[in-house]
Amino acid sequence: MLVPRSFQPLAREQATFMGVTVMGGVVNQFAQALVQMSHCKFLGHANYTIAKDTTGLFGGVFTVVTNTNAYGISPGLNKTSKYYSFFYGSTPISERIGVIFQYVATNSSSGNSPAITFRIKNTSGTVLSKAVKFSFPAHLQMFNDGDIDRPATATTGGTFYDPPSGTSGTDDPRPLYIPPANRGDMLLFEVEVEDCDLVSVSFFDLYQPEVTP
Amino acid sequence: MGNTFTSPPTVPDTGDIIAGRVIKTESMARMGDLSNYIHAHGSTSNCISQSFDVHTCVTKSTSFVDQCRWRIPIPSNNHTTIQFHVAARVTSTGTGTLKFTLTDANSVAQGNSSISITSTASIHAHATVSHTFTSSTTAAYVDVVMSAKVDASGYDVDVQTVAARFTALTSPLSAGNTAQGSDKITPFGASRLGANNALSSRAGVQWRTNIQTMRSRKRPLLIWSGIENPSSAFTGRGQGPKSLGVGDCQTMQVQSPLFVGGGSITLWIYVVDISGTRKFAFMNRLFSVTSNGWNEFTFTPSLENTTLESITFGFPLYKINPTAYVESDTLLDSVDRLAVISSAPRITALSVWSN
Repeated sequence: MLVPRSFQPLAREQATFMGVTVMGGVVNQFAQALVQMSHCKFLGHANYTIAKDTTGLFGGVFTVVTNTNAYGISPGLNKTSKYYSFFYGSTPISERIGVIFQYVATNSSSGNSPAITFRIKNTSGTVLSKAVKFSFPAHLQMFNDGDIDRPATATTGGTFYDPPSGTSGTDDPRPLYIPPANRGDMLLFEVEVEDCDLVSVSFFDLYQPEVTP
Repeated sequence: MGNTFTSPPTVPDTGDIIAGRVIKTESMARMGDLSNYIHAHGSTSNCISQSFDVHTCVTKSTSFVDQCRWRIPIPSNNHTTIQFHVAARVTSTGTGTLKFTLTDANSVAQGNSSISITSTASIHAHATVSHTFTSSTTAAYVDVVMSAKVDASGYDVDVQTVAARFTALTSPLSAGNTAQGSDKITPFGASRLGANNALSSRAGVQWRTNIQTMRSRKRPLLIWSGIENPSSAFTGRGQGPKSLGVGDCQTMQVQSPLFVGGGSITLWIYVVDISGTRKFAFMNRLFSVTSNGWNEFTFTPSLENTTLESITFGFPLYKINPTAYVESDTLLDSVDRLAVISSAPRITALSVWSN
């Protein structure tokens, strides 16, 4: 059946009263409203902002301010390679996870091969499916110092591909995959960031416009 | 007569629920099943999602100090257990403790739970605790304050990520009516909708009421907190963001789906050191603030401006973010205001929900 993406008006309450003929359209509206919630409204999601050091230019420390420093995005932010652990509350219908993230990559220091790898693990640390790697220049952009005033955005795309086999190595960007046995669990998305910096990231279950009854 | 449901749920075939077709019991049973599933699992994905770069959310304090606060919607009166997950470490051998203290919207203390952090590994280690409310509540939301300490001086506890989710209900659901705040939800008995049972008017009324109630269940879109009381045993650490600033209008570009017919967005901001009337812009709406503490606003979003990524994902995504407003009465911090240093009015936490 099709999965609506909006809250469509419900039938009047009187349509469900005793003595009123049960109409297919009324029941159909209820069924669509239920599926809209289970397969659209209440899909899994996690939106992370990442707090950055706010030390300003010229060595000044503004114990302040923002996710950036006080002058906007500092060149490259912190380009040290690092790992982030993001937790994702999957649902029983979670299957493929879309990712939208913001990053900053500049040529401000010697390490100029920006790459970001997303890996799904359970909370015990076991890798659940093959990782996905974004790299420069195929998937990420890199700017000169001072050329940018805002982070760049990248996504996994929303293609429904065949489930990946194996857990080692990496694939080019595609939605992340949750094996059936782990759906509904709290999962750990480990993100390895090299020669660039991650600013924010949104994870969400991909919306499927049609589901099989 | 259990109020059971299957997980993942099976969906009815709407091709069978049209005029001129015989109403099949299978379709009715699946609709009851689905209603129960939605009540059990609806809005039990992440309700807190926040991350901090290394050495920003830190404390060296040997007594608990508050570090972050969040205001999160409670899915229903039955959802009383919340799981906290953290990625954290201590900077040298020792023990750090993170404590989560909960107070509901009726100002009733709902207890606290703690997590011990002992890992010194360079990659922040996972730790978790499950907390059950100490009393039943009909409140719409709960406030969570994370405080932290270390057992001895000379090192820090360093938090990278905090996440939380309400624990979904298990099958079968408890018998009888329940509620989401004061709005009614009636679970469906599995066999009541089976063959040789009456398709009663009551079933129709209950479906409709359940749908209305669960449509109004809040989804947390953006839950953010500045870092309160950072301190470090090491020079130059603990310099993370304490308040919402101008740069966040560019970097806090969370994308979430909004739905036509979904009604208004609820915006909460936590304000400190207020004086006079101050203003704050969010999703291109301007709000006036005159009080310290949590301030609530509701507004109807413009649903015309989906993001470019909506096309990629076939889903109506919107940027849920503060809007730059830098007039003299702004609450956004900046290098011109230095609001934290000068104790000027500012926002230290933000919570955004939608239907």
